[in-house]
Amino acid sequence: MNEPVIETTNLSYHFGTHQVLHDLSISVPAGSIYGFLGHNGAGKTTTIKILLSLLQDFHGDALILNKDIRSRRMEILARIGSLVEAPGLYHHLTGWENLRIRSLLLSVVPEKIVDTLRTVGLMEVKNRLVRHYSHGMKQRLGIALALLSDPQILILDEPTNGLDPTGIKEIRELLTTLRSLGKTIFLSSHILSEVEKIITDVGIIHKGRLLYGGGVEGLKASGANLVEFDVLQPDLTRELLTMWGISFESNHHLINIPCKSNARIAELTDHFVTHGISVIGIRKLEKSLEHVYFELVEKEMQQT
Amino acid sequence: MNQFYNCFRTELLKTKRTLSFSGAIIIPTVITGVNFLTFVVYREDFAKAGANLWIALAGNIFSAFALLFLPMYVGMVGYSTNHIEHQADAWKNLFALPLKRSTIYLSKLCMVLLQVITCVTLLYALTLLSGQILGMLYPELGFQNYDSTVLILVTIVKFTLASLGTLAIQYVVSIYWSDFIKPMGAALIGLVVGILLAKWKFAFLVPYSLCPRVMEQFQKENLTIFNREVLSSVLWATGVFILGYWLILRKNVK
Repeated sequence: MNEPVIETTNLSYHFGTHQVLHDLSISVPAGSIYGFLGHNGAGKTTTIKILLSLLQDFHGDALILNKDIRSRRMEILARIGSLVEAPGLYHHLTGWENLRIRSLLLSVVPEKIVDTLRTVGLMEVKNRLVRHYSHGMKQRLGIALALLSDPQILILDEPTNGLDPTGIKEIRELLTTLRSLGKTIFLSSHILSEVEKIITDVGIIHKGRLLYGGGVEGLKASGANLVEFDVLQPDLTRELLTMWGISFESNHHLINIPCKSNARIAELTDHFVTHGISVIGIRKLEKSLEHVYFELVEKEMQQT
Repeated sequence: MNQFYNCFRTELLKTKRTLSFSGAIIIPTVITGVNFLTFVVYREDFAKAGANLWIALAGNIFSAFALLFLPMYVGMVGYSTNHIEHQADAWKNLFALPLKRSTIYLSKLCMVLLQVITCVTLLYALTLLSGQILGMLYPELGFQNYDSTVLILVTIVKFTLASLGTLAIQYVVSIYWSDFIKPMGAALIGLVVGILLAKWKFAFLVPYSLCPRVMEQFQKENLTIFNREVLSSVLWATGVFILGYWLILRKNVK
């Protein structure tokens, strides 16, 4: 595994009496697209604001590139491009002027603006006032602002928020391209299906606690996989499963049952055959991130 | 220094297509223009008075400017400079950049000061210009017989310095209050309270009373710049700017 570029240890934060983060420890490997996933209000934006030094009175440690955000703020922020919630754009200015402001603040040469506009596909509309941009264009301009200084790390908070399917696809493609250029992307989202296709690593946060942190494949492999049994006697199968106390989902003759191992699949098949059920097909189903997410959240809720 | 210069340049760029500098031009132009017309229309009455009409000319302008427009104007420029960030929801972006928060704070402050200085400089130039033109058009008014340029200049400098305390309060308040009503409401209340308290013996401690008191000093043709009103204003401004700086360093962007 690559060295972590972002690492938090026991991060805690509260707004007044409301505890938003509880001992959150995450580790983002270099060169990854890290999906930071959770419902609205889970603590994603708060974590991002701490990483960007926008919230200062937190407990625990936040290291970026092995440097403490509290003491090395300027050095760290010089290596990060960020988009937090909605992009803060000056609507009375053009796209180019918005980027020019950022280029002055970051001491970036104006020529870089053109490259960045091309990367996000806004070159044609660079002289249009931002107030006349579509929502998707504004999001892309927000990403352009984050990219302008060619940062090593991109921190993007809900970059696909409010975008139509085409816009979401464009952002996904852009992020994949950026990863291939060696950037590490920390991406928060509450719509899991939108980011599932591109993330390499994942952190799942629920009510300020990390439920899972690690590789996407490891997450999908954890816990029980669903196995689909195609049977000729679905009513009898359902009756037996209910009697045996095994949870299942069914759709006509297809019965989905969580199985933790191949031995369990073989065992169930034997049981079916012994009880006169003809099994004509068995298929392991790939779990969606959303499915795993809900499993984890449900488990957490049961424990608390 | 380079970072500060770039930051200040961005503040200038942000005023593009806004009315930010309009107030600095419109207010002095309207006040001196209306006053000029008043002198043209009532020139015979003014000629009969026979005194130094520079005092009357500047007095009319200063009454409107220092007692009403300047306190509201400093509130407005403080508000508009920070409102650009509130409106764009851009504070979080600014503070997430590798910039010192002090650079952002000071460059915005310089932008506010630049607008106020533009306004008072134009007021000074237009006051003198209107007197000169009236002197040329109507020699019987006697503008050419007196020279009050120093008194007018000193008074305008005093007004500027005396408004710094108010400016500091309005600037810092508008960083924290994003809406129009609160900072401008505070300016309006301050203006009324300032005028009401201007005669009080400790009024030199009330920042909003300082311009009315400088106005009184102009009427007495007082040329002392660094009197207690000006010093009080500078102290208020220094204290509030330091407090604002301290607050912005600790500001959490929620």
